[in-house]
Amino acid sequence: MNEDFSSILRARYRHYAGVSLVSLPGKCILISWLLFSALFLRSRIAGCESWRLPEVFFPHISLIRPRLLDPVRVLVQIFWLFFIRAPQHKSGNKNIAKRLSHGLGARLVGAGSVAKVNWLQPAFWQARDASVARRHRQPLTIALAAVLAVLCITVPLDPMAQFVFASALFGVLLIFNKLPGRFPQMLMIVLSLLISCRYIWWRCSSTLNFDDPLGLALGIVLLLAELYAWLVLLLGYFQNIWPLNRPAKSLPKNTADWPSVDIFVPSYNEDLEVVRATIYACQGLDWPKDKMEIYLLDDGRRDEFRDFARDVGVHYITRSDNRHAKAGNINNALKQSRGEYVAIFDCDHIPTRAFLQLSMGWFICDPKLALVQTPHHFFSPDPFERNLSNFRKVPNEGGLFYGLIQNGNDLWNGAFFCGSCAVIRRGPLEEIGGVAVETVTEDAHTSLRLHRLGYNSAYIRAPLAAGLATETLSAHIGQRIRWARGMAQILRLDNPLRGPGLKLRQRLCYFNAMLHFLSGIPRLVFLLAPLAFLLLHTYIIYAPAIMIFLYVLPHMLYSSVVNAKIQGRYRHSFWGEVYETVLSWYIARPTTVALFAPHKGTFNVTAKGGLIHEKYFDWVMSRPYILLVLLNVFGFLVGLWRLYAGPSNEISAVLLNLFWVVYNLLILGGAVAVAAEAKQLRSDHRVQVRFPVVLELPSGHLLHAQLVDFSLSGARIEMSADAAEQVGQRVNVIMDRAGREYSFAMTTVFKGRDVVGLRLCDQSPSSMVNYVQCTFARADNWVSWKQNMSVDKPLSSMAAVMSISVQGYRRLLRAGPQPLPQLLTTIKTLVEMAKSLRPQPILIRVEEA
Amino acid sequence: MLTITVSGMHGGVGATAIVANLSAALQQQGLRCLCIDANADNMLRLALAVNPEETLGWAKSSLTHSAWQDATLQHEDGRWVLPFGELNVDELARFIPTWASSESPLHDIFYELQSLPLDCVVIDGPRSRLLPHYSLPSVDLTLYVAAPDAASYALLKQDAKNWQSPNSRILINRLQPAQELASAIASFIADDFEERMVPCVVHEDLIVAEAQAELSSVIGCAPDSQAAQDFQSLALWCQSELQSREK
Repeated sequence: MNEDFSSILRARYRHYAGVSLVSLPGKCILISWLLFSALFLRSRIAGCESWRLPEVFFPHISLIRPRLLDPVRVLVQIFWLFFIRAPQHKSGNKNIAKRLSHGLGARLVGAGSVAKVNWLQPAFWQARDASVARRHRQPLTIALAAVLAVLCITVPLDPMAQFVFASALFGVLLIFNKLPGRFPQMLMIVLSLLISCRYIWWRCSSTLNFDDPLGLALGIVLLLAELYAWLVLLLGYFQNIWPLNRPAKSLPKNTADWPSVDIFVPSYNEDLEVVRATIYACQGLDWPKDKMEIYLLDDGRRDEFRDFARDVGVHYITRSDNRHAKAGNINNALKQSRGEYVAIFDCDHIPTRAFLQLSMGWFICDPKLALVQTPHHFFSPDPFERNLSNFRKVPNEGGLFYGLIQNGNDLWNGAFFCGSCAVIRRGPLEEIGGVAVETVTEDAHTSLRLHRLGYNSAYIRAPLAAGLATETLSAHIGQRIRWARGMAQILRLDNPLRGPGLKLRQRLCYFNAMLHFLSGIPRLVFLLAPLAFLLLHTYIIYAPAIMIFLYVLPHMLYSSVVNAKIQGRYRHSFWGEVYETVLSWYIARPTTVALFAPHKGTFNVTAKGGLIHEKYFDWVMSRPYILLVLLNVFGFLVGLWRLYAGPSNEISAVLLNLFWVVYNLLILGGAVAVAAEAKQLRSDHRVQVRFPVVLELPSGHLLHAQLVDFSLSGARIEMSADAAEQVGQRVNVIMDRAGREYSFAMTTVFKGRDVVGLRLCDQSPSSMVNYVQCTFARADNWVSWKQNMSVDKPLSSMAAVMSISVQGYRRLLRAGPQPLPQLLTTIKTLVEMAKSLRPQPILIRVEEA
Repeated sequence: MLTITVSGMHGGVGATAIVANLSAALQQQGLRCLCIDANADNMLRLALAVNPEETLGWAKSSLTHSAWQDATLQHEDGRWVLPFGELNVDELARFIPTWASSESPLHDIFYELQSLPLDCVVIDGPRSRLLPHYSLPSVDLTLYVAAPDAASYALLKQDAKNWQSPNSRILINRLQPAQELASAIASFIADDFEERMVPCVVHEDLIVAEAQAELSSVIGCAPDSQAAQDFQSLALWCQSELQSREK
């Protein structure tokens, strides 16, 4: 025990003993109490320092001169405190705290005497960290836990013991899974880490075959891929351990104190139609009009854009070259504007009217805050959602990132800029020389630089803007390639693990984000790994099948249970594998190239708002998966042959690899299903909603109706059949926006039994601003969007991926050259025939006598 | 028993139509309603399908010293109605001082109403500036009906302290969102009297007048209309407002 500890103990002893004589039993009791409280109790209990509990709660009992009836006094006092004083607990605390801060507490030495607790202030945390008890208990506990963990991870066990170990802990895991709250979730993470680390340790230490060069080489490749996945799992747990769920902060009452904001809407080659809605929505933002300037940044130098900007009264900025693409475009505009803050919206992200009011509050209360990011929400289905027809049923690819990961990053002050739907403070942005231009993901790089200078970032999870998702699979993949390449570039040019300014936690958050995009090659390795045994007949995991089973299965099972718990609302089990598999081939090369030659490659613009006129199968995009499918099918057939003709001591290994191949085929089937592009005919996207509106007929009658979807050019409205009958050619639709009602003249385009389709007549800017405000920019539009999404259930999620996979193979066969569709028909007929053989339920009618 | 008084800012804002349709909505929501006409024009009877030949009413009964109960009629949907009674100019001149005094017959009527199986009384009161002069029994809620026009706005501003009492609320009737002037005035009113506003409005809908012509309420004859929706919402709001106040 060091100097400090004993001196504090001595001070406490003096505090109790004073100058008077202490009897021997008194000494014993006092010393053991002081030791006990310093080592085992929290530094504060019930609002007072724990070592002072006796004198605060038992003022009539003297520790230094115990008397005969003291045990009785203690019991009576405890009874009184618990059952009689209980309702006045709070005021009692206050008095105790007061006494502490004014009187006795001041006499104490060291940080232990901080009496007034305000946990929001850094002083409290410093005091807490320095508090005696913690300082001596923590290293002890950590050391003990570390020893235990190392034992759990490294001790080799025989199959039976490993089975008992893994299954016993799995029972504990399932119990924690049922408990609500974050603490059980953290314990689950600990269990999963334990098992996964144990697996990796086992893999590294005892599964490489050093006698077989081919097996060793392939084994090392697989091991590296697994190490990568393990690292991502580890960092993912770290990142998401305590998602912050930062609430919006309110602004000052007086709008004169609100800062000025410039709104940038950069555009390059998008249609004017797409940009119009965004500009109208920006004009309707709830913010003092004299403190808000809107800039349309047109890198396409288009006259129609200039005219549009003039007509609606927003600034128009263009430039002679397109250097540095979007980043250069924004930097150019930064020089020509003056607002204290810059809000950036991609030209197809329509902000809701509350955007600025909800996002600006944190800037006011944290002067070091440089960035507030909000989620990118999409009101049209992305290619995955459209082609798998699960829009708004299964969380999409971005759901995990914007729902959980950014939210988790926020705890570590590591939420980063995503290029749109964000507000940046101008000062810091200019300090780093504007938006970063060195990489193709200028957004993440910009926030990395802000963090390096010690600025903070914030993430508000509420969807405050919504936009169009990418249209086609190829465009979607193109976008992801750009992100992956950009992240790999940052990793090389401005590695977050090195360089000045960042905290370790921020480094890890950025590193994990970048690591995530390097998943291409490891994923391909997993998809090909079982073929090493089935085709080349070499053991890349050199261990008995039963051991592999007993180590791999817990590792996968634990991590999927824990991830289903952590990510359940944002990503369903197995879907992530499908998403990753689709991208793997395409991001594998660019990321590798970018890692070695970070300056190669250019910025490719994400195309949005396009049309798909005909249903088709994207053969070009799906070529790599089809190759992988063929290889795996071939491997499967060879495996069957090995099962039949191979030696009997190999059967379990063959079965294990067959199982792996089937799993790969399942995931690949999902990837193939995405390549069958579904039809997309409407040029303007309709947003499904449901809110009440009023239809005003030319006759002067008003009908009550429900708006069921809208687009920039019209709306679909549902009502009773009787009411629908009265609707003629022209109607006014009255919509509500924050208590005020607006009327829009529309013409009927089609009429069903209880539904009418309407087209907006007046497309003038003033009418369109109101229309966009009443539809796209409704503050509560996107909040309820996720409500009808089901919570993740790993088994049913597995079933969903399976049916998607089967669908994928069916689409593949149908679109393939001639013998294949024929084969599909034959298979279908056979399946139908087999189905028709099963017994049918019958209805027995009991005739009553 | 809940008591609601409806009073128009000026003539033509549609206070009587509000009484007729609000009571129909309340009745449909399961409250047993009585409508009392406390407006010398005696127009409520038309909105509640009382035979136009009928001259009886509580004022008339008071003058003729007959029982007011005999003047009470029941609508086919179950609502009760107590008309004012048809008084000629001389009779009215004679009656008004009594009505304005503390011996108003309405006090007796209210006293006797307490023992009847009723949940709700809706009173079609005199217009807002005259309301304080006539002695009306204490009410739970007074709805001042304003139209989105200049006259209503001017009167609202002029008598601003009238609406400050916790039982007073301002209701906008005959709102036409397509007309810029009307919706601008409506938003002025809403901004100036923010806390005193009823949170829902009633739109200008031709069906209100047509329903009256057909001796019905919009709830009965046009359930799909926005007016029916507006009155349903208004009735729900009245109920929840009065319940929250009871607590």
